[in-house]
Amino acid sequence: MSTSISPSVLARRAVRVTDRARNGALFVGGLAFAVAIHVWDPTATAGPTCPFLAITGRYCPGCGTLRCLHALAHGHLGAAIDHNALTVSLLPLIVAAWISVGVAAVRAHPAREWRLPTWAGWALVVAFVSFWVLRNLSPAPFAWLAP
Amino acid sequence: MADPIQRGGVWWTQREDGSWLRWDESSTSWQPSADPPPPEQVGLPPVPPMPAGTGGYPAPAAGPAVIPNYLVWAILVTIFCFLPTGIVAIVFSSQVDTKLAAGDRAGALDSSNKARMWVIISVVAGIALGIIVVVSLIATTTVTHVDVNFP
Repeated sequence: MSTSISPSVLARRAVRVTDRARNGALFVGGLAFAVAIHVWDPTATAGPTCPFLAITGRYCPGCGTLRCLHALAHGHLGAAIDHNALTVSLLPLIVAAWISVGVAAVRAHPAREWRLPTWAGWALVVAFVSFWVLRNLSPAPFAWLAP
Repeated sequence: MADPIQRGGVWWTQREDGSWLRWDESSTSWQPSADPPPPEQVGLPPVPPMPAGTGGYPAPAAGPAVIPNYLVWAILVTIFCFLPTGIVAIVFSSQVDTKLAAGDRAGALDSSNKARMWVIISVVAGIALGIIVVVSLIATTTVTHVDVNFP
């Protein structure tokens, strides 16, 4: 170990501490959200209405996410896909991100950034926008995408 | 493991068995190193810059060594916080690696900072929207019941 610590090392250490605190908070917050959505049933009680749906009468890509996650929390995969197929398809990413913030919170070393490739970003933009349009169409295959 | 130390812009860390690892910027991972880090230069005057064209050390690149693209965060805030600004964050995130591949470090850093800014905007907007929705829900349920019938 060096006897003198350079300012850049101290700064990096401070950044690491705040990063770990933030990651820990995100991990615990995710866990709390999972428990809350398991207990609370958005269909039984009056849940928050999507402002986009209230104003335009059209679904947004996020409509049905709470019902979808509630169904998932109870293991009802079919019902979850019925409420919001996009959220279900992104579930592996959500779970992986949750695990990675948990790992980053307990690791003592600067975490290697989990870097998604560029094509994934563009693919998701296309997926969000096309899901937005398609779930508002009434013909049979598209109507299944509505919540 | 001991805390990482920096020597000449390179990060080193010592393992339990005494061997050294150095941070490899190209693969962004710790790589075993046969040589220990150079000793810390205490009290020495800073080395004057070498004249161009004499084959000295390459000029260090400006800005941080690793430019994050924040794509994971951009996607998560798009799902959970606020979609319109989240998509803007995804677009800026996607530009980072493209610009890095083209050798445009300044542009990549700019896109990275913009992606970070839009992630933060999305989080704030999502929290604000959540508060508005909950407050309006409490306000409307006590007054009347709105039944939205959608085909």
